Amino acid sequence: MRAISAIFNKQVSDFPKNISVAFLYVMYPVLAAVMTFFMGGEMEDGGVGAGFFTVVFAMMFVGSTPMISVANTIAEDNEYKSLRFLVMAGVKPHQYMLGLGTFVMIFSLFPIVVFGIIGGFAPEVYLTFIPIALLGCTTSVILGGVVGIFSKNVQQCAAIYTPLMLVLGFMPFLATFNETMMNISQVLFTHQIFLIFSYVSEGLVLGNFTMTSAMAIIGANVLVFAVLFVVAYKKKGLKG
Amino acid sequence: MISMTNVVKRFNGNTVLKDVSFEVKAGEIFGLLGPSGAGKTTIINILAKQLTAEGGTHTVAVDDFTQVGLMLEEDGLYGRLSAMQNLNLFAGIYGVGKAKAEEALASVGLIDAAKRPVAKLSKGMRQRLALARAILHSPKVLFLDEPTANLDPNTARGIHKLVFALRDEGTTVFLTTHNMEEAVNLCNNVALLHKGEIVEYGAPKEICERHDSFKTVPDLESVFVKLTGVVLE
Repeated sequence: MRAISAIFNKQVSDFPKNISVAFLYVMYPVLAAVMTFFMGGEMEDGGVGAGFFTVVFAMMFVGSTPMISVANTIAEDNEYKSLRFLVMAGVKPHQYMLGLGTFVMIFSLFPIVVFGIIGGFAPEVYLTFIPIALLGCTTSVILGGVVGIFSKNVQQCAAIYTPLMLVLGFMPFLATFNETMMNISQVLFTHQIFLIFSYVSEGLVLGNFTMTSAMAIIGANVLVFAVLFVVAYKKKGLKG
Repeated sequence: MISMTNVVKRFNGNTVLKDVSFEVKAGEIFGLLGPSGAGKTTIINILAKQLTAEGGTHTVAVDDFTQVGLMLEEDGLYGRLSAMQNLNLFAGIYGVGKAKAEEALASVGLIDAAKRPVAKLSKGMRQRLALARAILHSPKVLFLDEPTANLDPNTARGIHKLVFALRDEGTTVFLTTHNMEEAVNLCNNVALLHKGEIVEYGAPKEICERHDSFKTVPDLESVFVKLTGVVLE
């Protein structure tokens, strides 16, 4: 517990100073607010809810930002050999991941709540929106762990997460315009989160079948990333 | 306390350590001397479990490896955090409290730089901060890789005093250096390492006596040059 809380506290001090990553926590809500303000009305006239942009940017945020945060931190700690000293001090890999992951999850809550405010969600919508967003963040954190472990340095890490971020963030959005894209995209956890967000933001209740299949796909994503994490960990380890 | 017996290490087929053997007693300051590329850092990395050896045996007699302090050339400090935040992180991990972090920072003369981001510290200051981190938890064994390289003579003397104080408190200190004068002044025993082999081993004065190498003070450097033909930078 001591090690987890030390890693968590370190993240609290360090993270806001990591401008390029911390910026992502501001960028997506700001984009959602700006787009909703300027184009929300037009979207509503076109038959799409005014909260469309909130849902799109919330999904993009959930799919990419926790992943980038975790991957970038691990890659930095690898590159600058900080991880080596943490391990020497007795920090176990799971403690490191828990400290880091918990911080990212808690820090991610702020933009998630802001998305809800921008979207003008009713209080009962939050009951689904926040847990689903956190589930998405957890999936994203695990994927970030995989990317971070496989990266020797921050540059290599960015080369891996950039295409991932584009696929996870844009595919569900583009899938609304193209059926082929839809068939590919629906296996992504971000697509399912986009689907759930779209329903709840409109105040609609998802049917049991839709919800169950969405959760099953998200669960399958978690499983795949967890297996990849174990493979990455066994192959490269978390030791700096 | 620390021992190596016939340790062999290869990198990409090149043998960098050849049957290295030595022993370090508890509470002594032991120096591993040699020029750059001799294999000093490789030995520290093997003892600190950062590398595995291909042959031989080695031990560091501690119950738990958290009783080891380590200072390497690659300091692993967090550049965006302040000096104190870096120490507080490890104080939290070791469970030693923030007062101990302040004490460690003061002992390396960095208390005035406590709030400065590490990225803005000079190389020498970073080195002292890395030393503060290594001694923060009062380790039983302390590995120091070139602890006074890049430091001005005054600061280096301060580090020497600190190393003596740690030794007096019972810490076993294992350091590498290519500064022979430092080794003579600081170490109880030394091993001279050349191209991955130990060419001489013992107390600095005894080694100099064996090789009849005294000026006004024991001249370990000329022993090294005599044995290896290599002049240290």
